[in-house]
Amino acid sequence: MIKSRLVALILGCTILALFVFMSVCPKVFTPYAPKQTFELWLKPSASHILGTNDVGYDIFTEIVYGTSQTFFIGISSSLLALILGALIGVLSAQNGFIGQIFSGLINLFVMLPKLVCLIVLAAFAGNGYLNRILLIALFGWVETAREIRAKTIKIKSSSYIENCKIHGFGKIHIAVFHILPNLFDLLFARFLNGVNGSVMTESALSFLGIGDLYNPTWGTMINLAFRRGAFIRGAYNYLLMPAVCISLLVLAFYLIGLALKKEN
Amino acid sequence: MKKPRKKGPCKGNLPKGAGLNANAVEPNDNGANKKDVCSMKNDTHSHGKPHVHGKLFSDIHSCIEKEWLYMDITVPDDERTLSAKESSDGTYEKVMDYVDALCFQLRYREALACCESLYKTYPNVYRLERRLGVLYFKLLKFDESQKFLTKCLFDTDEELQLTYILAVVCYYKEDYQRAKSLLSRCAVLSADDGEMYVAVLYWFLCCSVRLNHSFDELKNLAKNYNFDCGHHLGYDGAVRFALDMLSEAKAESFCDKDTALNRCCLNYGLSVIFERKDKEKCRKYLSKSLEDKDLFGAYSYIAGYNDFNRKNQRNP
Repeated sequence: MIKSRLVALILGCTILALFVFMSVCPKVFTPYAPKQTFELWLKPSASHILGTNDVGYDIFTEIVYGTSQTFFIGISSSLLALILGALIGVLSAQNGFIGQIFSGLINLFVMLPKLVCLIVLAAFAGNGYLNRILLIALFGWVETAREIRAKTIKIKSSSYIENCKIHGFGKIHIAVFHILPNLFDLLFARFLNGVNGSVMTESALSFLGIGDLYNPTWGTMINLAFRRGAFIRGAYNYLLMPAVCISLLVLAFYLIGLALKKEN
Repeated sequence: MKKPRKKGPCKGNLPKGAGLNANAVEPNDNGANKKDVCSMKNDTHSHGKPHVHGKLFSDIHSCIEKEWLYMDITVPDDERTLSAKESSDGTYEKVMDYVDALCFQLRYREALACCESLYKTYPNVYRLERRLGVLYFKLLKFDESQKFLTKCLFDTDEELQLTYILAVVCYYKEDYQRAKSLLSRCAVLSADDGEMYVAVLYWFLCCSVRLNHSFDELKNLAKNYNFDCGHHLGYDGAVRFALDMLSEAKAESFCDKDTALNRCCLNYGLSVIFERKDKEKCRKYLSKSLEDKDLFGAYSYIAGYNDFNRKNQRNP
């Protein structure tokens, strides 16, 4: 069992490290600039590993430069969702009116159809990075909040918290020094899952045409390939490779999460 | 700093009462109408329609006079255009962003100039050729439009949309037989899409009238129509009237509470249907279809404008 966890961890970290390296040093992977043009719809060759697209851009170069966009949106929205989820989760675990309000808020967001709301709101908010990050985070905190709430309630009923109360520690002191440290493992697991969710949501939104066409993420690339007739021209690389990259990135986070979860 | 647009009422090549003046003066060298130019200098151009943020439609949109009559009118950039212009670095995406923003303001001439310039750097790019095809016909250059659209048709995964546009361009060029055969193809492709199907029926109806064909073929095609016309209420009204499913009075008021665009489509359809039956009604509906000049980019408006010019033996 330990060996399988280790293999999952190494595999996950290797894939993740590759993508991180790609996003930080894209020039190491491709000699071309992101908007450099060549002949249209070139087949894969030594000079163009995945061929070129309808405008003459090298597809591999687009994927390499798209890594940082995908990463940036995935990680920032996941972090934001984590902060929101943790805050709302802890508050909803309080007794009394505040707890009821935040529990209601969680229940409300659970019932909302996430993708439909995102599509509608994104259409109004525009396709800027910040808007997409905010929107994904806005609908990505719910699961985190529910799990945090459950664990906070459990921790609150434990004997050492009772002990703290008897010793006269304040609510904030208990929350920051005694409850929060016990939530870190959950928060870390949720962060890894959150990145997966955010990357998938961003890809779905981009595929539906809500994305920045100038700096395409992998989801946007699939959308462009689909709209620009990659299929009828047999440019399957243009359609498949961004999807493979999304799957690999999600797999990397999943494997790391899996390994660390078992460890915990 | 751009000079703000001179305000003036949109008299010009448009019907009297509905704007079109059949006794219009001779066009000058650049295609503009001298009388119109004068009137443009003195009057307000605003159509009086309130728009967002307290602006009028004509404040941020182009007009017939600029796009079709080549008058020297400046339409100020709106926020989107300004931002697209500022961020443009000459790459395909940025220029197309700018073109999109210009088209949103109905500034087709400027958009076309951008696309033509971009086409030198990015030849054979499908999306660009498709855009050029559409922009050319919006500016009444049907030959160029047909050239690009035909080229795109060989290399497309959106056969229905392109065939439909090409059919309408053929209709504008009075090549009704070809338009009809293209529309027959569209009817097959749009069998599951009521909204598109009714549009195809509408232009098929117009072609049939122009070719002096009976409505038998139209009736056959209409058997597959599920009357789920979506927002194409104007097309639907005209087709229903042609198929004797509506009386004239009902057809006339069919789109009264709907958008101006639907009313334009309906009135143009009615004008074509009455072409051989009642010249007076034909003229009346044609005139009504051209009432709202803000719709100059609409397919039916272009068709109506062409018909009007043809009937008055003028070259658009």
